[in-house]
Amino acid sequence: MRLTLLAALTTLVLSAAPPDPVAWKVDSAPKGVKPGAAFSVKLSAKIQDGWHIYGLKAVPDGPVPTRVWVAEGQPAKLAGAVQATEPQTMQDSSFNMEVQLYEGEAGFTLPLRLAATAAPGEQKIVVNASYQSCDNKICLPPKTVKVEVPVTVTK
Amino acid sequence: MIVRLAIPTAFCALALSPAFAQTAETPKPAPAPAAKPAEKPPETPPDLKAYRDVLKETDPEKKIAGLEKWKKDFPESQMRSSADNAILSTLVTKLPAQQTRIRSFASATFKTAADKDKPSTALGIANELLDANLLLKDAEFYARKSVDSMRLSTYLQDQLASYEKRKQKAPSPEELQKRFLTSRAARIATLGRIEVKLGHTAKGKKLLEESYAANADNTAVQSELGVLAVKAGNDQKALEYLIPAKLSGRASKDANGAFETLYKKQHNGSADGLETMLDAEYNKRFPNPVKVEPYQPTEKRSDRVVLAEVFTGSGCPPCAGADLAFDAAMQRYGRKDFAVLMYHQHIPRPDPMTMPESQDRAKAYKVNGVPTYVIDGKSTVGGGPREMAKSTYDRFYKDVEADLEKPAEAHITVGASLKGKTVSVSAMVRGVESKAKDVKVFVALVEKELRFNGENGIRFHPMVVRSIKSFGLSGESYRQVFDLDEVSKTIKDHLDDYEAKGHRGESFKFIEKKYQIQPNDLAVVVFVQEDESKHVLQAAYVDLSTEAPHPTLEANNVR
Repeated sequence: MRLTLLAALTTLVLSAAPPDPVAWKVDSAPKGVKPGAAFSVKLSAKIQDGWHIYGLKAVPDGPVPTRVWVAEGQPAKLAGAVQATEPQTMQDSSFNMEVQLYEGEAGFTLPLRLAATAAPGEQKIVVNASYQSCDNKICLPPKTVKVEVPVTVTK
Repeated sequence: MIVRLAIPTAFCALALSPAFAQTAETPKPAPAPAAKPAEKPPETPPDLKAYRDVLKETDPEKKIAGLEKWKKDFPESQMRSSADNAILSTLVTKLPAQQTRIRSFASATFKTAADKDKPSTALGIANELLDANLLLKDAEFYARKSVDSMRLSTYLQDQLASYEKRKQKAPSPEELQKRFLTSRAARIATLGRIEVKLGHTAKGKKLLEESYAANADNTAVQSELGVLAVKAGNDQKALEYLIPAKLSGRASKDANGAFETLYKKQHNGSADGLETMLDAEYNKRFPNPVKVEPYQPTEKRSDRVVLAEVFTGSGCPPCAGADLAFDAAMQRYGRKDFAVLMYHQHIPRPDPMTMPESQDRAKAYKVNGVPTYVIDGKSTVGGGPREMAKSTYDRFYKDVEADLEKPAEAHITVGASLKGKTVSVSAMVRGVESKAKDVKVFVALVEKELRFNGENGIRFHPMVVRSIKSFGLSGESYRQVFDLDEVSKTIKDHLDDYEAKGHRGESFKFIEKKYQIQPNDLAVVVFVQEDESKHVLQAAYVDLSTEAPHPTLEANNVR
């Protein structure tokens, strides 16, 4: 009896984890990069209708900003500021401040530099993206996802 | 598309780190993502990690030096403006005598800001100086810059171009104009408050009224206009501004003083009845949006008393919805069906109803944010603003109804008495049906209602846990004595200590410390729980404030 109950409970908890209204993808990554060379990668977040995520700008006591950065231990690192498509700016009464947000889609360009020691061949550079998605009623807890960027390292 | 922005978070995280939890609304499945969820715990961006480390520094000069070094180490960080803000804030709050330094830092920050960021940078500087009541002429200069930078024609042009660039349909011109006025109202409010502080009362009042006309919900504006109306002897107008400010829990110190002065003036110099008047205003303005019918037991109603444990915070906006959802549930179910324990937490802001044992309970449940609620040991996270209370209620009431039909797995008989300032509880626990080796018996002392307007606007806080003790299951008889003076002292010591140490590294003052216990408003909850699985076997509730003597009260759990 208790076993059944526990099994039911486990199922409930698993199924209660909501799907994400934001889907990340790699828009462009270079085909051939030499070790030590600079290159850039474009990512985009596709946001479901009715939902939004926030801009990159961190504001004290403001909403959770979106962040995009290279994960630890990767053969490349950021070589400049992450560029983002222009967000909307709106006054939010809850925060009593102007906030930046994206609906529909947000694009991010990461200027990167490949490590001089990067091994030739197909590599996957892991980029982390953290963000909070909200609709007009609720915000989901902040989330971090890993996006794998395929890069061909040449000699 | 018109966006109504959501509340800050549906969930106030314990720390600044991202938190993961199941949530209220289930959005439609997203298109197949090229991303997979990160393994826990998530990585922190290096600039953010370093920034948090710098903020831990308490010495102002070292903190500023750390922030300057951080700016050099992470010149491209998206948090650069946060660092500048933190430096200015440290200067004005910790080193206010260094006016030349403050002035030159503010000026450099403004000059180096990108053109498009200049208006918001100017507003940030003006607000810092205003809050610190420092260099008000400079504050006026920056506030004026932030206001003057806003022109309707340019705003409309920029917005339309921006929507076109994103290939999105722009909102109507009326909607865009409304957004412009709301944005502008926040800037005018800052300028107006500065003008009042500078002694330019008429000019300041005009600006504040203009801000109020565009957005009547800004508490700082309500407070300032209320104070001005009291000074001008316009009592009716003053009440119009001050009552919502008071009920928001965020009225300024001057507004609190002005309200009391006004009330006394209208009540023969006495403040008696002031809170009752606010109670009535609160109930009139904020009826619970969740309407419930009294619970009618079904044929399957068992002997179980369902236990809800709620982790909440008076400074947590999304806790408002959860608090109201449980208020509604307490209306639907009697205490012999449904016992509730509210554990207050200093999340995200200090909460004067928090005490160490409530925090320990949060640790036991691995709570990493509020609201989190636990029905008979099953934990769920997330809430929302007032208007979301129904959706929170809908998430748990079916669990409650289901549990009411599950047989209890223990039998509890509670005897509780109050003599003077001592509450004595004796509990008999029999018939425990659990194979777990870690079953515990908990005895909680709750205050049935505390009144406190926190930052989330909730005024009445039911079933606040004042003390909770546990015993390993051993035999049938358990006895716990609560000395109310001792319990009260423990809470007071905790609040004093928390205030002395600061909240997340920042100094603060409680508006009020809710450590005093009303002996005539107490109840006791006893429950039996498996410690590891958290499954609750049975609970019982005894009201100590009923008229009838209650040396022994039987919970509705006769098997």
